[in-house]
Formats: sequence, structure tokens, C-alpha cells
Amino acid sequence: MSPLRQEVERMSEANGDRRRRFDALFASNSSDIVSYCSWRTGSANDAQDAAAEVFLTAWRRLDDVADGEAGRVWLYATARKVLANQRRSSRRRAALQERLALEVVSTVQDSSDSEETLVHEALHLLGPHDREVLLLAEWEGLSPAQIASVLGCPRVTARGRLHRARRRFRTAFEELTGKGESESPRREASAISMP
Amino acid sequence: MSTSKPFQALRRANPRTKPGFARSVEATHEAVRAQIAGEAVELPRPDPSRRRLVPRGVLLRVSLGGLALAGAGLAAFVIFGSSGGAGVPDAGAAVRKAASLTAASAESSGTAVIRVKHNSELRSGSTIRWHDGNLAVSNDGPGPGRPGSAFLVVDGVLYTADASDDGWVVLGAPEKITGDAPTTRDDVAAVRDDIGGATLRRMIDGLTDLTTTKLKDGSTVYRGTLPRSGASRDDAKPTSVLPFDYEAEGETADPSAPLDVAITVGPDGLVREDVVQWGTGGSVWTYAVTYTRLGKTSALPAPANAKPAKDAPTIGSRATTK
Repeated sequence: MSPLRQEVERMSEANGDRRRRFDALFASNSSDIVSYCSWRTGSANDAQDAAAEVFLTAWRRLDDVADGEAGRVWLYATARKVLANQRRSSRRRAALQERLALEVVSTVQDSSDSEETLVHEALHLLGPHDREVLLLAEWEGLSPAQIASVLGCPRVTARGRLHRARRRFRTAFEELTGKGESESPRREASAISMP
Repeated sequence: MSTSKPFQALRRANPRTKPGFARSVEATHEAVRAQIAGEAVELPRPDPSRRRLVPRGVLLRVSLGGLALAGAGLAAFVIFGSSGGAGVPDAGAAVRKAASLTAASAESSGTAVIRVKHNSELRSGSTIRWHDGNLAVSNDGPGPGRPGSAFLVVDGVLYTADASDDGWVVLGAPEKITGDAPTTRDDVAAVRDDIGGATLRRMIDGLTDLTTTKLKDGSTVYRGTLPRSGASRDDAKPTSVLPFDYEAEGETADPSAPLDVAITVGPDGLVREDVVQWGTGGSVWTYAVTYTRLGKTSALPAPANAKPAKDAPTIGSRATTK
């Protein structure tokens, strides 16, 4: 076999290995990343675009992506950066679109008394940082240590934020269901909103 | 993990349990697979240092960029080459007068086309139309949001595009919509301010080293530099806000560098275009607004068959796909 042919076959084999590794990464984590992008963007289509960019980044930097849980955390952290980049340049426009999407949800929920309505109203009352850390834990199933890696903060900070976010969510939810104390949940939320 | 009722309810609201979510994952898979197929021949190389990746811009959704000034093309129109030097006495007054005249002409209706480029690559674009207090904003560039996605304010009612079927969703009066500050009402008000030329006037006030160039078609280009702080809407937040709520920033732009501004005033005395550039070397951002059909833009009717919000696709909990 000629050296050129050997090189072509070696490259083909390497490409196949790379592809198989990427496919496994995608199969294990695509639902998580699409889910995260969905509730962060408020739009299924924008979520798909963002998630696609996350996985393309992973494909291009596959050598940097660890296997297993570390790889999953890497994907969340990358998704967070992709979403931040998308917003940075036309921040107010993006914020408006996000709010419009949230407002669609709110309006939908105004029309029913469902449990899900209350959940979304309670989430809406949280500050964005509290909401993110809470949903990373409750919807994405990340541990405080993993959340710390995604957010780029110390573990103790992530644990503290999560504890606080849970407490605030419970208070807001119980206020909305009439089982809490008399303090207005909206006042509580405004007090806890982070800059 | 808490098992109390609020948290049980929260977990049941997880978006991935909702209809449409699987389709979102599938659509993402298709998009990634298609893109990778185009790259596969470029990957992997025996020597990592030789690896060439497809330019990030292919899918990068960074929104800021702009309509290039197309300096060479513009130069072709220059016949007099009559650039005034720094401190052209009446230039400042002339361009201010043009901005005021433009705002007056734009009062009833108009169209603004915004393009943002990074080097020669279009990064973002939108078209804003207004008529008698009604407002339509559509995305027609590769920035955040799908092309054509938009919102409308007609007769005091806010509508947002339903990406799932190209229809519209009724959201109600902007001033009644609440949320995290700044509110939707603030955003709508900001756009309306810029229809009146508020940001343009603020930029003009901050221009220094103003020069003028007469073009063959009778237009005049006023060029100057603007310190970043001169493009700030709020002294406490020195973000460089350009007309229609765009921001002068880019990942490689020098945050302390001034902005280069070129305002083209047509022979009718109205501002035809304003262009802002920043960055150096291999990374130049260009933002441009072209004003057209001032006083002549068609009425904006309320969208027919707009759906009440309860029928609309929602984020997360009821995610849908195209």
C-alpha cells in the first residue's frame, strides 16, 4: 500500500472514531442542552439554533471535551457562553424578545388555574440569577458542584445561591397558592432580584 | 433534594416533558449533522497545528455587525472631494438641522433599515416601520431570532410573531405588560424616541473633528468621531447605544476607542443614512441605518387572524418547532 493510501486510510479511521465519539456525546446530552437553551431563550427555534452552535463548537473542539459528566458540564458552560454572545450585541432587543416570550407564557397562565401556571408565576417572581441556578438544579439535574462549574463560581457560592433560590421559590409558590405568609410575593421577588 | 409540593410542581413543569420537545432535539440533530457533513473533509488532520476549521461565522449568531459603509463604492460618488477641515463652521449646525428636519418628516411614518457587519460579514439586520403611532419591527439578518420574526404595535396593542406558523399572537397593551425592568413599554418607548431622532441628535451633539464631503448626487456626508461616552444613554452606564437600541460593541473592539460616524444628508435636507464604525485592523464593526419612505410608509394594519396568547406556543413548557 502506498504511503499516500495509508495516510488516507488512517485519516478515514480517525475521522470515524471522532464521529462515533461525537455521536455518543450528542446522544447523551442533546436533550439537556436543548432543554437548557429552551428555557433560557424562550423560543424553540432560537433554542435549536443555540444548541446547534453548542454542539458544533463541541465537534470542532472535541479534543477539549471530556467524557461523561465533565463533558456534560462543559456543554452547559458552552451553552451559557453561546447564549451570552447572542445577547451581548443587541442586548435590549434580545431582552425584549425574551420578555415577549415570557409574557406569552404569563398570558397563557393568566387564563387558567393550573399548577403549571403557579410554577411559572413563581419563577417569574425570582431574579434571573436565582431562576437560572434553581432550574439548573431542578430541571437539568445538576449538582451544586456542577452548577459551580457551569457558572464559573466557587462551589460554596453555588450551594448558597441554590439554597437561597429554593427558599425564595418555595415562598413565592406558597404565597401564590395562599399557603404562605401574608407578605406579597411580588415584594419579596423585587427584594431578591439580582442585578 | 426537596420533595415538598412546590418542588414537585416545579419538576412536573420541566419543559422536556412537554409535547414538541423531542422535535426540537431532532431538529437540532439535523442542523448539526448537516453542518458537520460539510466540515467532515476538513477534519481531522494528522498534524493538529494544520487543522483548519470552518469559519465560526457560519453559524455564529452574534448580532452586532452592520451595513458596511462600502467606502470604495461611496468614493465613486464623490466628485468634488471637497472635504472640509476640522471645525467646518456650519457643519455642526447643518447636520443638526438635518436631524431635526428628518425627525419632523418621520413623525407620521417612515422606514429604517438597519444592517450590522463585522468586516464584510453581515451579522445582524432589522427593518423598523412606523405609521401614525403604529410600529413594526422585523429581523431580516442573521442575528438573534429567526428572519422575519418580529413584533408589532397597532392601535396600542402589542403582537408578537408566532414562529411556529408565521402567524401572530396578541399580547395586549405594552403599558400593561409587566416584567423585569426595563419593561416592554420602555423598549417600545425607546424605539419611538429614535423615530424622533433622539439618539441621532445625542450622537451629533458629541461629534468632534467634523468634516464634510459633497457627493455627486447632491448629498453631503458629515464625518466625525464620537467618544464612547457620547453614545451613552445613561451617564451611569457608559454603554454605547446607537439608534434603535443597538450597541457599539464587539468581542475584539477596543472599548475605549472612539466611534467613527458618517451621516449622509440627501439633497432634500433629510438624513438618508448614518453609519458608525469601530474597531481596528482585522476587526472592524460597521453599523448603518438607512432611512427611507419618510412620511410615505404605508399604514400598518392589525394582523388578521392573530391568535390569543393562550393558543400560542410558549417557551419551555410548551416548546414547539417549525
